[in-house]
Amino acid sequence: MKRSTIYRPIPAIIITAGAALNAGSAAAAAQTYKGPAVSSVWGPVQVIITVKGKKITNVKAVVHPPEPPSQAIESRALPILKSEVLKAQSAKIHAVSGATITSTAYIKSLKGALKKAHM
Amino acid sequence: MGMPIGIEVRDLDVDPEVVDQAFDWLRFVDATFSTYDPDSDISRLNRGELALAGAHPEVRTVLGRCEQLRVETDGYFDIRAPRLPPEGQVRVPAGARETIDPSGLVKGWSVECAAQILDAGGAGNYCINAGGDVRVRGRPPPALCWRIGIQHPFLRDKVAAVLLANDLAIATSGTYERGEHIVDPHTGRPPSGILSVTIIGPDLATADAYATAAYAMGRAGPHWTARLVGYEAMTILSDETILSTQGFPWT
Repeated sequence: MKRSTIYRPIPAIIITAGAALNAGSAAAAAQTYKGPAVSSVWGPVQVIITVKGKKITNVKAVVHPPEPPSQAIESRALPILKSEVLKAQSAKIHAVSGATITSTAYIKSLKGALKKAHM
Repeated sequence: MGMPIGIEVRDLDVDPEVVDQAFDWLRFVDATFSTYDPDSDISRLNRGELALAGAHPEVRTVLGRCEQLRVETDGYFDIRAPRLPPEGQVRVPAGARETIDPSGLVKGWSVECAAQILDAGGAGNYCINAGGDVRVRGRPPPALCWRIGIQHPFLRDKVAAVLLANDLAIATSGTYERGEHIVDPHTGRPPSGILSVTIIGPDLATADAYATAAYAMGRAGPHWTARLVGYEAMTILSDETILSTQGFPWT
């Protein structure tokens, strides 16, 4: 099962997917290749791969969120809503409700990056 | 409808034929309503080859409910709104016939009807999952409740929340499996600022439409969901906070 970590430097959201697969030879310098920025519902998605020798050592997806809306929602102004921070749980469950995130934008950008790296 | 549907019945004394009947119903719905099937009533209606009066009675039932919901959601649930393909561009030639896509209601409605088939067959403990729309009744022994996870928006193997349920419908709107985007029918563009909306309540058809509408509202969605009667909601915003209604049963 791949591990994913989410960092949140402003203004982009970075999703790091996949572990480093092979270290490759110490002598080979790491090269990064950026795929095109492809539009998605969260904003443009860009995949950046790091290649050492002939191996992909890292894959990163960067999402550039769209401009923030002119009115911000303050939870204090909406006492009828409860506010929580998004957390990840690995609970045992019988079923999942949700739209599966199969991002075609991610796949397109990944293909572009692989092409640039001649893979 | 282009997505996998799972039916899990935990009653030991229910004839498996009952589950077959539920799947027969779901296949009928797909053949009648699928916008991907050129021979479905909906596709033929959209091409002008079929008049509403000539369509299956269930089509009129569904379209009637869709119109009620369009009014109830201030137009944010609107079957005339296009679903954007992954490329994000939709070109509608001038003079093109207005088409409808009721799939935002049909999915939940068909599952709710399938649940009634299971009920009629004597099942009291089951879970139906149709591409993320879930309908449960009873429990899976020895557990006292069904445990339903709400998909984490970024991490596929994690959940953002867990619900304990005995008799409940759960619908979530977000990015679709096929990569199509829900749009705000008023602007024709995807909403911004939110990742998903989950609606729970007694009827999956209504929950499905409410989830679609609330998602289309974007950042104004949570406020609208707080006014719903009989339904609770949880909205995951793009800044990774969650706004939920007072009665949403967090675990």
